[in-house]
Amino acid sequence: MPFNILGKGVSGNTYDAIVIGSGITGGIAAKELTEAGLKVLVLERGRMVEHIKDYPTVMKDPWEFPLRNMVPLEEQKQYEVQKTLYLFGEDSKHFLVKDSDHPYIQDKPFKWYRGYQLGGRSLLWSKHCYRYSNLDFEANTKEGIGIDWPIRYKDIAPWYGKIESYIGISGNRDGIANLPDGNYLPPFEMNAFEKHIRERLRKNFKDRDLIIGRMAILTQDHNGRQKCHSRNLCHRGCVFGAPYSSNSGALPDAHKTGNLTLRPFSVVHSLIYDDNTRRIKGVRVIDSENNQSLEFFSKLVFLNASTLGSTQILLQSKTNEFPNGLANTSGALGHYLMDHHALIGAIGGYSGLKNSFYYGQRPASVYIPRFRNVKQNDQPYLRGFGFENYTSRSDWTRGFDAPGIGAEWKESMTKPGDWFAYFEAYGETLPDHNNMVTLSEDKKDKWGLPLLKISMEYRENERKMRVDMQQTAVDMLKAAELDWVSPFDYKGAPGTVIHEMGTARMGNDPKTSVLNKWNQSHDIANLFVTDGSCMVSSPCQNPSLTYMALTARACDYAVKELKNGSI
Amino acid sequence: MNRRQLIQAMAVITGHAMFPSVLSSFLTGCANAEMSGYVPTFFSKDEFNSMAEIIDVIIPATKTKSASQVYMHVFLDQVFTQCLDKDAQTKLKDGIKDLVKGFNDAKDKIQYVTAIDKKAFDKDETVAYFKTIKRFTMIGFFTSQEGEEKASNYVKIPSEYKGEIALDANTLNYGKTNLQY
Repeated sequence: MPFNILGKGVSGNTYDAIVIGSGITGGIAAKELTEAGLKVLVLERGRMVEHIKDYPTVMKDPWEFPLRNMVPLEEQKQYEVQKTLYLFGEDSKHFLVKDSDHPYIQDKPFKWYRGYQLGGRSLLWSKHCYRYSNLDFEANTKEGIGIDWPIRYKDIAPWYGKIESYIGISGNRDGIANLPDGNYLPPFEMNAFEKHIRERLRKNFKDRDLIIGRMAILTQDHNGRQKCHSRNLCHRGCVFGAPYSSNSGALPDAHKTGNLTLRPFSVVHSLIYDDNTRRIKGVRVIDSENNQSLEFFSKLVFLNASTLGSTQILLQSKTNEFPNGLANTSGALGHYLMDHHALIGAIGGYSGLKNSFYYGQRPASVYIPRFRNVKQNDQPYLRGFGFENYTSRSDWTRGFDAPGIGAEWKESMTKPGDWFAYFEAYGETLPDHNNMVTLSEDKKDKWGLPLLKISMEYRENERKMRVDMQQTAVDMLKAAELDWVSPFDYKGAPGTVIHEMGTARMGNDPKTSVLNKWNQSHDIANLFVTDGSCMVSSPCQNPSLTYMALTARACDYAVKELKNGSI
Repeated sequence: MNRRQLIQAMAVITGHAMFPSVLSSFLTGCANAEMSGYVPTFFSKDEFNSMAEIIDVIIPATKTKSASQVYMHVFLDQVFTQCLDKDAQTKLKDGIKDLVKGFNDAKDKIQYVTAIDKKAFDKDETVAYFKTIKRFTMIGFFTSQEGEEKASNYVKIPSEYKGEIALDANTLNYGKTNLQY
């Protein structure tokens, strides 16, 4: 679909709203604001990626990759961080940045995975969609950690429903209080081994259950997109549009309104603040293709440049009134960075159910919702964790680890092997003032913008939790009567889970938070930040659904405020 | 459904013409042309010729082709050149010298390679390089067109997912599509 794309050399343009970023929240903001009748400019720092047309590897067969999806070491040098991503390969690298072009400073080790293109990381996300509950929204206040969330479940519930119905989430209504049910398309089926595990978990543990993942992957045609064809290659882009992305969903829908203008290659230099009106009047942009500086103007600005991207833009946009970063009278901007902590759990094998198989490659995994510290805090740590679990019959890669060559062995490798289970825990990380980002005072990128310096570490609560994360994985796989169980802990650096959040948190008190309960800046009424930077705590469930719901909610509020003249 | 029908079906489903490059490789299948004139960059010419024999001991011709019949010695040469760091390359080169010499001297070649394989998985560090050779030979073979379509049940577009289906002793595993190893 030919988007209305703003060409080079255009300046002095005025819109009703500017949305900065086109990823998972920028897409929703663009859709909600254009559908409300606003003329919207979406600024994207990267290149265009048009749905289907710009998925160059989507239909490739394995043997069409000369190195079978491995990337030559010489080329990997450009992807110093991105190359460590679990799905980095010849088939996906065009959706990841070259770190050599987009450096940042790791004051402490931090993996910052980025996709600078239309759609951003919505092309690569894991697509798990879980609601938060009041167990999550009330935890900070009950435990005296950080600040209170300015919203409760009832405030966000209808917006969860709206997003779920729009993007299409396959799942089951499991009736688990701390993982509220939503509006779901039919769930993917479990395989026989997963049912085997589920039965034994239910028998052995009263407090936990194995459920099918609630995934933004269509199990039936929905809103003009087609159902999943079970290739499990979502990260290449999908010709069916089955996995939700901004490219397959919100941006084309925003375009249909006739109110959307896209401008790729637009690196935001700063927000332009008007001291007299105390409003943002526009956005200063550097065209990354020709280094030209441009300005765009609007009544309303939505910042959706990703958690760290949005905070970086605010820190860059200093004024006399805001010497420590725009909208930062609280001093909280840049602080309380969180990511989940994971890469810990257990694996196991099972030689039973030999006569059961499955058909197709299911892109959904199974999930064990949080069960720790739910009814009361009875663990040596606060909060909890959930499990993402993958199972399959093993394939020929099992031959890597055992002796065997020759004709008979080769034939055995062509058959499905034993069942294999991978249980990985995803834990909540407490907000900490010292987990933070700042701007470098001397190092700049190729557009002259200061590099982001990231300083975060996991702390005592996370360390204590991890002991339990691994032990419960082992206990559950043993209870499921597997033949062998083996714990693992890959100790990933912060950022590894790609759930970085916080640094521009919401809150009731302007003295301690950047945004109010509507994701609106306490300081500047026409500035909204609705990506992961707004997070007050980091509930262990995957966060993107919550970001999207908060975005839709904030758009609704902003449009009303705009119409009644408050903005 | 043959390849051409599949392409037409995809074009209908997506409403887009397929990209010319993808289309042509669809139609020509695996491009093995001119492999006979291949000049190795990691192996010496002699090593290259011996490796063609060694990988056929690992993956011989059965109902499906052997490793060298689908040019896995070429694949190994390219992967070892492009995807291993200097340190790993040096270790591997030393190992391959030993392996090739031992292989050429051995009366029973199958027995010789079988013994090396066993030692490698008994954690004998002097032959640890063999695990690298075996690993990449397997990757190359099972993701080749022969490995995917003949030694596996390659389903490019399954269309649906079923959680439970029956299986018998002859059922092949699905071809690997998500290429992370």
